[in-house]
Amino acid sequence: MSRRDYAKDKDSIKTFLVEFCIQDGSSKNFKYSTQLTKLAHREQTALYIDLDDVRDYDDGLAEAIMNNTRRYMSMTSDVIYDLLPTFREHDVVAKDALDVYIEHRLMMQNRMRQPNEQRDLRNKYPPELMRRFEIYFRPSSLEKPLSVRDVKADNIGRLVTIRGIVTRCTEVKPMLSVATYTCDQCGAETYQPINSLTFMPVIMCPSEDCTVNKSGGRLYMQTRGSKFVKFQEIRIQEHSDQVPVGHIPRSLMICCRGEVTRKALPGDHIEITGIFLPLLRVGYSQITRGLLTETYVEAHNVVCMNKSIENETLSSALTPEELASLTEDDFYSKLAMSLAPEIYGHLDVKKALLLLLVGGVDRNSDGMKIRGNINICLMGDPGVAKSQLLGYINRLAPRSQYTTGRGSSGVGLTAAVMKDPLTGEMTLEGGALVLADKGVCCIDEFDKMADFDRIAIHEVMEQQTISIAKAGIMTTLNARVSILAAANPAYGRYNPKRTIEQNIQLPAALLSRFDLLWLIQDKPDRDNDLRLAKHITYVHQHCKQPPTEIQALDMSLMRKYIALCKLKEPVIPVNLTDYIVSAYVELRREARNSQDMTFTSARNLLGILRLSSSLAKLRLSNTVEKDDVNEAIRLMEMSKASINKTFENKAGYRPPNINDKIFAIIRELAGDNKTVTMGTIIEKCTNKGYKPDQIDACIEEYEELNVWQVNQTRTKVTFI
Amino acid sequence: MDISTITADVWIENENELIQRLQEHTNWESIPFLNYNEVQNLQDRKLVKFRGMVQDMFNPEYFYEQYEVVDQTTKVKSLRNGKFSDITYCKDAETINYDSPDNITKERHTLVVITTPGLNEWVHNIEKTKYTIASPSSRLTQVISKKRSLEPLEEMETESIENSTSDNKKQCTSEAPTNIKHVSREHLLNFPFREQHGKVCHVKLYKDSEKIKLNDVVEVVGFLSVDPILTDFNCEDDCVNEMEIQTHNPPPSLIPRVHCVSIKKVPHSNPLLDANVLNADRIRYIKKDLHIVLTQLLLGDTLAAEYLIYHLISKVYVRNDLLPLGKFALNILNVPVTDVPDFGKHLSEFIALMVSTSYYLPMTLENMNELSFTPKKDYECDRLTSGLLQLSSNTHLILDETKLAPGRLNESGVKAISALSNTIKNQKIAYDFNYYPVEFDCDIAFLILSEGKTLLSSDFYVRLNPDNTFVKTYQEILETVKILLKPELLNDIRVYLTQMRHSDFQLNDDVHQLVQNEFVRLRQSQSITADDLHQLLVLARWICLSEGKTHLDADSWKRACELEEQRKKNLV
Repeated sequence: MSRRDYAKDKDSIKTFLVEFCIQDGSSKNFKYSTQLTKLAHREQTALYIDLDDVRDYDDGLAEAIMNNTRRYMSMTSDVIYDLLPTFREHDVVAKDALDVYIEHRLMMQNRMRQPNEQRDLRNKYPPELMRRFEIYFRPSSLEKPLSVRDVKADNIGRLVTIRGIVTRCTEVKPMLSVATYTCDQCGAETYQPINSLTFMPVIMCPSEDCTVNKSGGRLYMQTRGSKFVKFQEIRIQEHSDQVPVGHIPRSLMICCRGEVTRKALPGDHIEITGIFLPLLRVGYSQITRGLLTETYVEAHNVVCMNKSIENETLSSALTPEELASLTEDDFYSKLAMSLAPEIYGHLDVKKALLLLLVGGVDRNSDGMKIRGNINICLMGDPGVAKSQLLGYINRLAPRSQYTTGRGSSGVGLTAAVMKDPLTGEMTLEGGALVLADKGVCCIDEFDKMADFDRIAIHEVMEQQTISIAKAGIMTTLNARVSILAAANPAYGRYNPKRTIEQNIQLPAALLSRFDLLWLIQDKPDRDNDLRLAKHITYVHQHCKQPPTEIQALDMSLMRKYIALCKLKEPVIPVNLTDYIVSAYVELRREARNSQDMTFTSARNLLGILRLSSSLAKLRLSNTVEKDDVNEAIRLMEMSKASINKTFENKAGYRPPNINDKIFAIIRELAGDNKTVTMGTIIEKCTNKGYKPDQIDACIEEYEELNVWQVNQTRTKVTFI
Repeated sequence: MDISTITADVWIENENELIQRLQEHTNWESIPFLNYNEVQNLQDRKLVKFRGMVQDMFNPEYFYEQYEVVDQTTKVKSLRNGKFSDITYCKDAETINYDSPDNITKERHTLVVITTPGLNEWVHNIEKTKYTIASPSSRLTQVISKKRSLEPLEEMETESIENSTSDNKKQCTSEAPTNIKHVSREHLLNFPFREQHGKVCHVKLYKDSEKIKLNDVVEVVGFLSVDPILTDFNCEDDCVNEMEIQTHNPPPSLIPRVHCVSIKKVPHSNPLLDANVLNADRIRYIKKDLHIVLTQLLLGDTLAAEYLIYHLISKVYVRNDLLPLGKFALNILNVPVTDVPDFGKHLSEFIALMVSTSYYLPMTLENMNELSFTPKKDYECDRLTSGLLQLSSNTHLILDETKLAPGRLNESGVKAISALSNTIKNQKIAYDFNYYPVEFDCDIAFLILSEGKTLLSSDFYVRLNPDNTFVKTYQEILETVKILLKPELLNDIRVYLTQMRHSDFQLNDDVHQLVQNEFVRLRQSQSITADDLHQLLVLARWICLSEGKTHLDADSWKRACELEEQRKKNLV
């Protein structure tokens, strides 16, 4: 490797700082020279140099800075120190004691000393003391963040970007960077720049007077003239997704100085840029440690991340090959099959869940708010893998909360007002629904939830907000959340003779808020059972999933792709509206004509729109197509069919005719009594919309069957 | 050249050849076993062997693989090896040249390896007699005296250093600063069980660190490093990390360092298996005997005894994302608590005689509230504090729910219960890393004894049908069983249980058809779910293996169906 010409680099840094500009319309924005002016006037302390800018200016220089950051940092400091006086436009107002101190020393120097007089190095003002600015490098955007595990010995000395979670922070403490001493004999001042964590104080005065006279002047440290910088030690640990299976997360020590301190707290997800350095130990510990070197990262830039940024970067990391594998013909089924591959079948349910993960498009115009999130409720007999599906979605969704209806109170779902024990302040603490904002909230055992809690969910499901009025705090929190609920039937098993409300004992108002309701039933069915049995025996035989035509996709790939889909905002073209409207009208008509246990309402129309835009998103398309609408309607019909078809399959079951219905009413009226008066029967039945002749026909028919007797005056019906 | 007297320098020169030689069985066996020998009987900087479970992994260390020393008097430079060593050995006048371009910095990994938790006494005894070497008095002079307390006597220390390094090598310093010890012995040893006794050592891994996972049982051969100077760290400059520094640098007499040259995973810890392999006749015979013994212990219930056999040979043999196959958590309910109060304890004592690793946990309120179950990261000391559930694969955990009395569970108790339930269900434990949990796979065989159905979950619930005559004569039965279990039979049972568990197994296509048709038939007549089929297949697998068969056959499948039917009938 050829050595770089540092003198030349120094010059190019100088020109870079002075001349670098961004073309901003017609005017030129001198990014760094304006900052230098601020530095000169002590209006700014930290100067961040973007390596992207350096790269634009000189590629090689940026590379050199990356590889040998510490050296270039001090070079840049020197350059700036030399440059600063030229940028000074007016007198600087002293900001603190050290400024005044420096000013005095400079004045003294000018007054006392002859020009060109040689001075002892120790007595000269060290540049570290005089500089009141800090230089930091910001990484180039091309640099990929590493995990703690990837930081290896070959990164020593380099500028690295690391991602992790803060596990420990020390308090910010002052750290001595230049120690200033005064001699008790000659009064001369001595300076000692300190670069390591520990230092050995100078005791004997090295000044000319003392050494020549051998007066043995003792040095005393003075805090006023010493320079301290803020210092903080941070420990970061790998994210859970960066840890290979079966390993312990690793951690790394970060040293922050000056302006970089107080940027993070324990628990924060941060991206840190700094120089990976060996820790210099002095004295005794160096010897015992002997062969060991500890390492740390000297921080240059600390960025706190929230989860949304994380998602964006995830999607950008999708490679072309991965994209190609995703955009095959049957990618829709492929994606759906890859959801919980260990659960056999239920392809349509999985498709619906996939759409839930992607979500529709939020419309938020003219004060009208239409949610884009898709809500799904899975009902079904115990042991049909509802909870596994929920668990899988919970793990797959980048942001999700999992609760059970039984375990969580209303407060646990929505939000609680807490009183801070120390300050006495009221604070809001988010519950599962708030925490899952912009994500998925999986609620298991939805039917076991207390009524009061369900009311909180009504608002969330349509308005996507939570209103709180507690302890004097009135507020509305965002809860833009897709709800995925699982419910068990009220009587252990789904009873097809009853309506859904009776079966899961949930009010219609809540049920209609779900875009899709799936009933997963456990019914013996020869073909299905055989396929299931084959599947299971295969797993046991070969210790792996059977090879399907479609290879299940990796979970992280799914996550990336879904994140990518979420960025799209497809629109519904005008020419499709007629089609959707007619499809909806058709649905309504069918619902009227057939025996439908579900509701078909305007909410279904919205549901179709949501599902079809979600399908368009899944294709990474910007417009909804007719096929999307068809598929959405198909899914909706399938979900309805899953509930309705239970009747068709029942052997010998016929839909109740009018007589049966009237009989049921009379039976209900009778209750425990054997007799019912004709008046009440007629009143009740006409209320329900039956005509008197229909009632008479019913009574006669059942009289013939000897179910009941009617008295002579036809005023009473007595059951036998 | 005797492999056990090789030094690190020799090893580095002939690494390839020596690795080959080490793999030979006799050479591997000839290396002294650190588990069963006191540290003072072993030589520092010579090869030793250690077996145990990986309990924790520390951050990587950077060390000088090669470093330059300069003799201050003659100014002669020479290169030294830093691999397989903790300390620098240089003569009086020599100093290390830290800025030399010839220094090579490398990375190594520290594993904390502890004696396999729950290792039963019989394993210990067998290996102890096999591996303990008599301490020759001639060696004693060279060897550092063992420190009984953690507070080392300083003068003694420095003397012994000079003795041991009389071969013209000397530490660069001999001054030992006084350091204050805060950390207790228990804290340093960090076992999952409080009462466990065993050894801990820090294994320094130079390669293949990514192959070793947490909770793996490994056997390591490496250079022992017990120089007392390792403890002497001055932590005066940063008191914040004092706990951490002490935890990471414990006294080597208590926790020796082993610089690994070879590491291998150990599938089981049964020392008897190497010598004996059972033939098919013997297998059936032993199964019958074992069944008789367990029937006695289970108060005459043959069905429960049969299920217990399958439980004892079960392991997780395949793991999908959410679905571990092969797990066989067994809940024996309807234990007659009033008549046989210490049923669980006695049963577990007998199980401990048969399997190599097991642990009995009475689920008293106190235990549930106070013991730590899931391992937790301690950021103060930067290490993983072990919990009761940090166990190696195929450990039998016997939970005695009959000891649970009504009372108050505190927060940690509730967490413990849910941790246990989740582990039973998924064979996965979410270790608490404070900021997020990290899931680790495990394979713990749970046996739960309870009066009613357990409050934890389980795969198989077996209702115990105690025979009255057995209940009355329980004490005598225990005595008879002890007599019945002659050492030869006991050894056979031990081999049997381990061998059956690790046998290969296959499902044939013809049985497939049978199973599939059977399933469809069962579906028509009664409610049977996919989970039931999984369980039936798992049960059939262990039935086959328990009889020494390696393929599923129709008989075993039928037997599994019968057993399940009978078991379910008993439950109602």
